[in-house]
Amino acid sequence: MAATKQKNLWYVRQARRKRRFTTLLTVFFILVQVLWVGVPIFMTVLWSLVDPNHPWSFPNILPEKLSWGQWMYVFKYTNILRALKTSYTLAPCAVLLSFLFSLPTAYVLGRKQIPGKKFFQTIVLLPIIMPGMVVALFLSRVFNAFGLAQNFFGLVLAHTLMGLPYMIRVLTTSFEAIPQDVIDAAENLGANTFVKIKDIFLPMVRPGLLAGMIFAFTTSIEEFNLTFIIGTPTFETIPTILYSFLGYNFIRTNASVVALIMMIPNIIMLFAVENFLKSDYLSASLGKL
Amino acid sequence: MSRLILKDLVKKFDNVAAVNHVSLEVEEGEFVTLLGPSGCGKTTTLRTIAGFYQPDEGEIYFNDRLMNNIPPAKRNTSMCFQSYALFPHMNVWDNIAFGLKMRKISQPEQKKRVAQALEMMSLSGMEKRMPGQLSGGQQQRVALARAIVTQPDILLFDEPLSNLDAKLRVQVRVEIKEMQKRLGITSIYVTHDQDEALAISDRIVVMNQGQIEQVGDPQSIYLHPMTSFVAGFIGLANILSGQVVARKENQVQLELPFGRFWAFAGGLRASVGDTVRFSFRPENVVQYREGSPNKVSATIQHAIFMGDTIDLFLDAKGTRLRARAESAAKLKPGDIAVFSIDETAFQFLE
Repeated sequence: MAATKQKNLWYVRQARRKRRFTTLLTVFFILVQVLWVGVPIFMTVLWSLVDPNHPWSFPNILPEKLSWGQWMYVFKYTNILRALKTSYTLAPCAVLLSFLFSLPTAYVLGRKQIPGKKFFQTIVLLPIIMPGMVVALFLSRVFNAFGLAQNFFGLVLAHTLMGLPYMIRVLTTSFEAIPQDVIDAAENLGANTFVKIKDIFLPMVRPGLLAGMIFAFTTSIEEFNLTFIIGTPTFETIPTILYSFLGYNFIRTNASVVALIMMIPNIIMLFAVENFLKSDYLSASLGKL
Repeated sequence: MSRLILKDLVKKFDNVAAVNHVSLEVEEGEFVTLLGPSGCGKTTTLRTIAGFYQPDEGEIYFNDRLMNNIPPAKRNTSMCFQSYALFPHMNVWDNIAFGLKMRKISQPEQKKRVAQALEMMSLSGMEKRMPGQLSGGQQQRVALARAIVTQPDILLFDEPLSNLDAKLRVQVRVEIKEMQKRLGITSIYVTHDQDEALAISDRIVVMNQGQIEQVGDPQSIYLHPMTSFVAGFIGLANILSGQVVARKENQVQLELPFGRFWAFAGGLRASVGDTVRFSFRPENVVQYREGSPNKVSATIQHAIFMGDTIDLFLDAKGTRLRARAESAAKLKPGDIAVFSIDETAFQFLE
């Protein structure tokens, strides 16, 4: 009895060791996540709640007193409400416009054989790898020349430009992923171009479209450089107010408040869309092909 | 339902002719298979019939109507794809009803016809499922239902069974054949699988390098191949050449390295002294019995037991031959045995 138990033990031990290793890895990644994301958010929340009359300074580990004082200050002495309105009007407009621009571009890049296709695909991504301030500096000249500075439409256009690369990239991949057979089948069954776009292409690129929209939306919400150069002082967005608390008159507590105002809607949106994507057909159907 | 006529069809890609002067007539309700190795132009021919490719030369007629400039959407063909090509974002019902919607068929009529198609393909009860939730065989049946529900003039099949496992493949090909006979829709079927072609077709068109090698019903294609390509591609064949050394009435005597053999000449027009190419099937090379013609003695190199027969690889004075023996025969590699070749088995090739 004892002998059999001994003999059977080796794989039990191995399985246990394996499980222990997996647990260890999980714990490690949770720790990294906490350090990387959790701690900054926690600190931001704390900083935003520090009472203005009881500064949080060395050697206190936690603030002495918490209050909504900083929040009141930001809402009272800055144009945050107007900035919120501007930001959340700008972003949907920019998303819509970049959708309209990128759809035909992505269709051609994803489905047509054109000379220099790889080159164009790379060119489209260039704005992402160029430093934002550099792009903004030179583009602002163009915007000035066309009278698009200090102009809402100009701002929408600027934000559209910043979101376009993501949108085009993601949509191109989605268009590429559609099997030609499915398009041929639709045509074979009598679909004209309009029906093919409405009933086949658009529903099939929808997951990519949503991902691209999130990118474009968050890019617009966070866009500072170009907005700052061509928009202020006529237009203030959340980032321009945030930046006003950084730099020379650095006020961490107020900056924390604005940062949270900028971040929370984005996080909520991300979870909402993720949830929506999960219930999508594509993962189920493409797994079979 | 339509007659299909291809006249001298040519389709080139980058100046290479994928389909090279193909002419074919398919009768109303006929089931014709395009058979050939990959790259032989069979799929290109099919896609040209569907309208996905424009022919560079030649004409396509459905009945008397020239189809060359008619877009795929207006040809009233239905294609079954190798990948099934179901719309992944539509449920089974919407997939099947798609073609009817495109044809602006009334709602009640749509309902009736989709329900009929579902029933015919034994898919009832699965209307609301998404394609991703179906097995390969079920997806295939949805694709078939989607194809027939529009009552097409011509059904086009592009290797529809190659994604199924062997057992299901045999079952579905019987179903396809039955369905086609019941509906009487002219069908063009593309495959590289000779068993499938033999089993399913009214007529087989064997293609090679963009051209038609031979057209005929399954029996004549198998029993009377006309080119060495057809003889070698469909079934197993011993393909040899030899000199005609004698001729009497409707028989010729052939000189081969391992003996002289009498063969029925058929339509052979060669005279004594000519070299001819011919083939015969392994099942026509059987163990010698008293009175059998055309004796060959050969060394057995391999004997592979197949259950119903024994597959033999022979060496007859340096010439390799394939033969068959009954499964009860006692034959081992290394044995020297005597075989006979049926006189009617010789098929003279071009």
